[in-house]
Amino acid sequence: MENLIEVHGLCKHYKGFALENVDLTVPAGTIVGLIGENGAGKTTTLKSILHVIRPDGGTIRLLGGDPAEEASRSEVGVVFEDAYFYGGLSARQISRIMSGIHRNWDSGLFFDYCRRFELEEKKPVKDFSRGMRMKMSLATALSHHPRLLVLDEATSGLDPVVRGELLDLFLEFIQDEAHSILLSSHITADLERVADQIAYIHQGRLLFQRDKDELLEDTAILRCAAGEIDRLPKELVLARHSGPMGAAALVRSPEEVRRCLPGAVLDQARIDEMMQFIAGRDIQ
Amino acid sequence: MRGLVYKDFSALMGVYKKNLLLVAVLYGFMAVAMKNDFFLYFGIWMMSFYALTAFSLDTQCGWDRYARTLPIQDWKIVAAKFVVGLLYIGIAVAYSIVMGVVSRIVNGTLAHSWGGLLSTTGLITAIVVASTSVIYFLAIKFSPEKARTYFFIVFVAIFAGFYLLDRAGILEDFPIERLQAFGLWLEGHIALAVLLALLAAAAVFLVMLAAACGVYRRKEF
Repeated sequence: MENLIEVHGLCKHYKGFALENVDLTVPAGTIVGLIGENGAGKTTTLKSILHVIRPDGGTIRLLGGDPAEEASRSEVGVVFEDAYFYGGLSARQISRIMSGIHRNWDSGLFFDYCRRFELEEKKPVKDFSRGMRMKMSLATALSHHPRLLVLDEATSGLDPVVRGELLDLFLEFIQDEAHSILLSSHITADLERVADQIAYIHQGRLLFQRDKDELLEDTAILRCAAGEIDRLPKELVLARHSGPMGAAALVRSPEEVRRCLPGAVLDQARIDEMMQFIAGRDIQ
Repeated sequence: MRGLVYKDFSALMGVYKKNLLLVAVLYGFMAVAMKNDFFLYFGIWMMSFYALTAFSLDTQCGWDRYARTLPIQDWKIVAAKFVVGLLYIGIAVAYSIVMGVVSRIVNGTLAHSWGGLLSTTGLITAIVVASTSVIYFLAIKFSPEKARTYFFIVFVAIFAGFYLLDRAGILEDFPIERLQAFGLWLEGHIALAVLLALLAAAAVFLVMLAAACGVYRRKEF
């Protein structure tokens, strides 16, 4: 299967933060959800992939080419949470601008999206709600027929109805198996709904990139006494937490855990619970 | 680059349309009523500062980060800014010449002073193009706010320097007659002087553009 993004050994160092040896792939026809706590390195990874910053080490292939080459970026649509056009511009003006930037800009398609999203063509972007602005960003990102969408927190701050519409659009986008999406989000419920793979960045390192269904099936939360967790083989325990209500552990291979601890209470782990365990925070 | 130029031009017009119209009417009226071209020349200088706002608008909306993801070469992003600056200056120059001619027709002085209007406009244009290029370079290297501040500091420092030198008596030995002779030579060769000034401004423009492209290429957003 062709990879639309291939990242190997990506490093980027800042004062007080370092992204270390990140390996990430986005195969054609998939949605890869990039998760991690605030400041974990998600945006730094996306910026490196998109040529916004220069990595200190590693290699990045974007649609088979170097991200620094404009040709590599010509089939990529990007939505950043906080970077777009000046708010005084209207959809009509944005279309005119983009037609001078993208060779294959399709203004008909752009205005189709505007109608679909109920965005007025002459209204300045600053007069739109947050959800509408995000839709406008997405319409812009989609209207030059990109093969790849890179979305940084594109659904954050949106109401469930708008989020649902956008998620449907993402699924529509990858249907032909030739398109892909790399989606960074804090809303793990969205990723559970649409992502094929989950990549988790924690403190500047990629902890895993796994098939989402496998990850959810293969990971569980064990609730028991602390001593029982100690009886498990170490490789099955991913993270553990002890509190006043007892102990809990994030474990892999629930069937094997059941064999070791018959009668143990095992709950399905949600992605946000995995994050909370791994980040060492309390869970409810 | 067409799209980038249109972006900045239309964004600036959106911000300043009413303000520009008001200034144009006011300065044009004052130039005619007071028989004083200063307002027209000042308008040229002001327009370059209006165009500098394009950098601030970009910063406000995070455009630079978004622009890097688009299939545009870095130098085109920088060049578009410089071109928009030239466009704004060009509009002000055209307006200045038109209103200068109107003023002379109204005041009955067109026959003997249109040459002065053209040469002064040419010299002012050269100064504004050169200074704008430097400010734009500073805006890309630092920020538009710092560029404005640094420019004013240099501007004030030059005048303060002359003032202090004069107060200290150092300028007493200055060969003023040579300066006067140069002034007389300029008057006699004004067309050549304007041409040289415009060529020098074009050189400054190109050097600053090249330097700004180098700075921009190394920047991260």
